[in-house]
Amino acid sequence: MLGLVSAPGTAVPATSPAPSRPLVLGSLEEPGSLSALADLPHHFPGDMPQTLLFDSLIQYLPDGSVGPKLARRWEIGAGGTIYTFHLASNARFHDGRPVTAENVQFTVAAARDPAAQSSDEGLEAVETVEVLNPQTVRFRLKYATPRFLTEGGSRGIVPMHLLAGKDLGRDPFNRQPVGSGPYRLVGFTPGQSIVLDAVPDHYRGAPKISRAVFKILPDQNVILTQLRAGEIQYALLEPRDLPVAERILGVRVLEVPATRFYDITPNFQRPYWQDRRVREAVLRGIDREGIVKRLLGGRGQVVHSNATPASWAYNPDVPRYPYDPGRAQALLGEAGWLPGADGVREKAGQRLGFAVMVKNVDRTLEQALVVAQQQLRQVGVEMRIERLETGVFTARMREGQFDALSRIWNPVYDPDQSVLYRTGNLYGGYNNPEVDALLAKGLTVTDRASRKRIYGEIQRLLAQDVARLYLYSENELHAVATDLSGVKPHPVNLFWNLPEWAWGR
Amino acid sequence: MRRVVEVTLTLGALILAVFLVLRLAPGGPAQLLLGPDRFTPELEERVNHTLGLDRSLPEQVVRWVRAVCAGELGTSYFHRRPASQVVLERLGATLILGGLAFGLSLVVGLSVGVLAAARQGSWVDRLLSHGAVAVIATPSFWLGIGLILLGSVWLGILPSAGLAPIGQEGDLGARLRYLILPVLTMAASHAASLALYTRSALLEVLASDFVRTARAMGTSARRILWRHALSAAAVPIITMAALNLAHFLEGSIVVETVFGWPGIGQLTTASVARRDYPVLLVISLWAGIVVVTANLMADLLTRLVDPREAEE
Repeated sequence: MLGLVSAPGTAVPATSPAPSRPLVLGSLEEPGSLSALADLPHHFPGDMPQTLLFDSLIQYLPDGSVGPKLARRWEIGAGGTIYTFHLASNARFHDGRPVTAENVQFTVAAARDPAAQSSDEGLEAVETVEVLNPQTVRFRLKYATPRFLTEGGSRGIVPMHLLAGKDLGRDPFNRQPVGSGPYRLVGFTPGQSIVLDAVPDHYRGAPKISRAVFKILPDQNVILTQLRAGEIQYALLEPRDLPVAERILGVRVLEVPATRFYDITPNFQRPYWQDRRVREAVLRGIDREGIVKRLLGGRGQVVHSNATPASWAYNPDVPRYPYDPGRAQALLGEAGWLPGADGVREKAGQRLGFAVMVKNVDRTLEQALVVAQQQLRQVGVEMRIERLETGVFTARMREGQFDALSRIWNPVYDPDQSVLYRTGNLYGGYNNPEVDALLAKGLTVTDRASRKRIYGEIQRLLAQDVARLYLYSENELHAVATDLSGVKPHPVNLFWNLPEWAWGR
Repeated sequence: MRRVVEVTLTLGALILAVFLVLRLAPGGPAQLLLGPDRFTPELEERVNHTLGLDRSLPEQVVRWVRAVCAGELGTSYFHRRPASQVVLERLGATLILGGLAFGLSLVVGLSVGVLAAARQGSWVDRLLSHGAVAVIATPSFWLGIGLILLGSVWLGILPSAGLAPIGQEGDLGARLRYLILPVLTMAASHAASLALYTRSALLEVLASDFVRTARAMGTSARRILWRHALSAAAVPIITMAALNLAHFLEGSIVVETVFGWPGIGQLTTASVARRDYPVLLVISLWAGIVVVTANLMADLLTRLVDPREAEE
């Protein structure tokens, strides 16, 4: 078992230029496994340790393009099916062993091994990985796909010499990982904290802050209290925290438009949802501008299709359906739904009512749905809200046991959302052959400009069809200490440049 | 020997019940492990196969029991490490919290109960008894939040959450400050119920014939109370305390969640949400052992205190 290895003060390595104040990040979520094999690191504070402990071949840059990391450079050949990466010769794991092509080969094999219970995002197309020499590795893909470089290349590389032949699903490595990232693990107290120290001779340069601490806190109120007390210097906020957070001296709020968004997903098995006029009417019956303005305090925007302005694939030019109760009522009338005795519309003895399920942790979303519920009632639509625990929500989603569901969608790394929209999907069952063809095409083309056109067209089609009742996107709100500089927003992972963060205004 | 068989059967039944109840809860680990946006039937099948969840329920039970007998308690889906190790890492925190709270509730509960019984009918008795009823009626999450408000927010002298200041896990003084609020919260209702129980058990004994005889023989009131009455009332009090011990497990779930205390209680709540079956099974096994042991200990203690019990 690994306790806290060193006491503060004694922990700063002798080679470090000067001991600096530790950076403490507050989080509600404790990561399960710290190994890079578990998952790709995303935006959430829980992914911070993995981001810093493991370096990957490439790094995803703020504008959605790709820059070097362990791979100094690479060549792409054979129509996007062969990638040759040249590794930095001075990259080392925290135990001193060099990062070689063999480790890359091992990482890919391990991530795809079902026993590792790992996600294999971005690596699905890989056919073979060849070691050309210790610094050169070649990937052959079964088909060209844009997700390989951005997602497959973001996978943290793990050390073969520590993991070969081990049971990856339960090895102590998952708790005491050794990577090649700019920080190394020095302490992990379950449910409390994870302590990382800078690697002073890191091949990409020494991080400016010598110690980063990940502190696990029980709830959002404690996070605010700790921010006020100066005990943490970073935390993710929710819109309702703003009135409090903005009054805390020494804390600034960084507002970043996000790629994630919320919608109401209709279950197309229900006959009433199959009528496009009903979908449009319900959407027009909800004052989404008002929800953004009042509920989110203006910290967000209405979304009109399955991408937000934060995505490089965003198409602003799609059909929009602003709040218009009169038009909503007219559409419902046209579709044959007429007001019944209690005001709820009816057709052939059936009431126009549906239940929308929502996870009990999405509290802001639930409030938005309550607002929508009242507004829909005005146009004669009865929406019931079902709050469910996450496991129950997911089970019912899988089984198609719902009228409608409302939740967050999070297209990180790539605008592709085939799993959600292609014919036969488990997310409401929307189907449109035209969209299917475009979704398939978007995954074979690798050049950014053509892909932008394809995903732009998909957004237009989905909006035109009212495939979903798109609601809004919340801006990400990060509370950052004012004396912390160098924090740069990023669409996928705020901690991407944490080694550049420094104390000082 | 009969006890051993009984204990084994009890634990076996408990585990079987937990196993079945967990599987009755909708949703499974695969859906939560995969994350919401990567969800396809093929991926789910792959994960379920790796976890052995694609087998029939009886087969899963048999495999699990067989593994447990071989000393293998399974792997946590979420932590990707042996489930027993995950639980063990958290056990210390709960034992410290629960142990101190249990100790405190014994001392306070017994003293208050004896004091109230000795002054039966006086204003002291009324104050203590009514106070105890009020404490029992207060839910522990409410009490915990109230104490945080008082100690951390208004007075600002005690930390509101956590085990110890980061980097000072070895500093005993610092750790004690973190223990005050959760221990108080956890001990309060148990101390109160033990006090009331002790009071009524003592009053019953004090009204009995042998006490009247002792009084008539000129034995001092103090000696009657401490020596004769208390030992006669000991059997029900010990049973009550042992029952309380089981409730501490249940209480730790609430108290640890309120105070961000990284123990078994917090792990239980989190593991239910994650459908981390192996961890939950280890926790149930552990909780079952604690409860059964506590009852066994109570039995032994009562026999020690009252030899008549042993003869039955």
